[in-house]
Amino acid sequence: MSQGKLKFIAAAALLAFAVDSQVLAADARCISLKSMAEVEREIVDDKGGKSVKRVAASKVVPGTEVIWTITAENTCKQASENVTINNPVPAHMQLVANSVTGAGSDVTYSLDGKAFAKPDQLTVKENGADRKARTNEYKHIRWEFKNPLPAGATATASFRAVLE
Amino acid sequence: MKSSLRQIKRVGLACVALGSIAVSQQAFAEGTAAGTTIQNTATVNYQVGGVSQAAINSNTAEFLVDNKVNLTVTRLNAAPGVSVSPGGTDYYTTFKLTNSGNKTQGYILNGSLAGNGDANLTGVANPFGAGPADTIQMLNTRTFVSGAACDDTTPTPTYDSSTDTTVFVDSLAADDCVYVFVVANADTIAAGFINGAVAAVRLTAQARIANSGAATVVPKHNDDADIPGTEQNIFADAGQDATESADSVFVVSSATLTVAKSSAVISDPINVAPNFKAIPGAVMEYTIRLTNNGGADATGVVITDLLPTNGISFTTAQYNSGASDVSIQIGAGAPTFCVAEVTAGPSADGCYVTPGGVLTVGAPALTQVATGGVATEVAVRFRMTIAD
Repeated sequence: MSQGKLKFIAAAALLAFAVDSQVLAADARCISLKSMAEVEREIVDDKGGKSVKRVAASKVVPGTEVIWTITAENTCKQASENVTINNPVPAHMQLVANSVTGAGSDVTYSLDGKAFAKPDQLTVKENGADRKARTNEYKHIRWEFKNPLPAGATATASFRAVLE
Repeated sequence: MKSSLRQIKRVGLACVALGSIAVSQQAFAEGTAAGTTIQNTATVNYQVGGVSQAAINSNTAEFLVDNKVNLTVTRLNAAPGVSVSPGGTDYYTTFKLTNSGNKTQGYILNGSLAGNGDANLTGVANPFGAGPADTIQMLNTRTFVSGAACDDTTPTPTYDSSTDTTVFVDSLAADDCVYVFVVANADTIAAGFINGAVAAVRLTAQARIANSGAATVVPKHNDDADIPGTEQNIFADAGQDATESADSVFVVSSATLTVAKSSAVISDPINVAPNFKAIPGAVMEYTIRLTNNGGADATGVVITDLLPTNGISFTTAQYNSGASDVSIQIGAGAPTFCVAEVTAGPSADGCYVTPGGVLTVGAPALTQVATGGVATEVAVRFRMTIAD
């Protein structure tokens, strides 16, 4: 084995160590956050009965309503506190009124991603006058969970948006 | 183009700090283009044991925007429709075809790549609601795409047979439109081709794959299995058949002539007015009234009248201080006159009596009977004398 090759291996080992330590640090992160896009489909059974089922978003065209679900699972042994989920309304989509859910959370909205407020405090300037912002003008959603998220527990937030 | 504009708008928003923000209502018109990937990433902030932890991003959830196949066909002509005269050619009615989907499409028109029309619509109701149903057919119905730009600012185009020769739409971007003419000729002799009769025409457009010469049908995926990540074709028009149509009508506008002949005794050798009698030596005035209650002027009108010969004879020099033989009056206007010399015809003033005894009154003395009923009716008068 040549000198040069040995040096290379040593360097590679160092690099591997560095990567390992990053992975360890990542493991220390206590929340696994997942985002999911679904649509509702009407299912007709053999007897003609109808039911609504959620499937992975497909056959989405302008006007279709998509359900976005975000789940936060506490993967540590300690509780997580002040869990706050932020989600911008996806580009080309408009938030559907009264579609935001998140059990145990206070929900606020923002037009610019900076100032978050309850719906009645969001205003838009139009023709020189202030008016209340419409739901489809909200660009960001924030869920602030009031109670700590126990180890192993999952918090769910969701909203519906229509494709422009 | 649209999305980059929206991007700019967003940046504009970010520059304004707190408080109220100026936004304009987003145009929703053509929709997000097919093939666009829509993504979402959430972020969570939290604390453990009172210590703030690094924010965590979710996976990126995404879906693909599918092809919304949708179109509209609208008639542009106003009620009661396009007026046609019997025998006239290249009458046209104009439609607007709009791609209201989210992807460029081609369109076949009236089910034919040859541009043939669809005009056999007997019994079809008048699309204007009021007005008669279809009872007649136009001839040589054709369909052409206008070369004119389609927008709301330019007036509806006129059909130009030398340039408007395309018979299908090869490529039409989302939210764009084209004008389409249905062109036809009017019959001259067909039964029922009378004033006010209606010939309905229908423009039918079906979406095709763009740039296929309108030859390739768009596969419909509405009821197929979901294939996330693959662009599927979702028919969103009313019948979910990628086909829409609209009706328009051609309305025959022709002359409807009535002819009435009357006579009166205007003098006799014995009695005084108004007690003239048809006795030998009396002068009779004959009046031929032509009335047009139709929708168009009658042109090229010629009156011929075989004069009676049994004991009565055409009398000349009765009008215009004795200079003329026939009086022609339109409505209540001042009469004009002509001289009915005996000739086989024609004559310079349009009036003559053939050697066979037929009084003829034509151009230039009489040229047309304008539409307008009694107000524009033509009264042709001449006189005859009962033999002694």
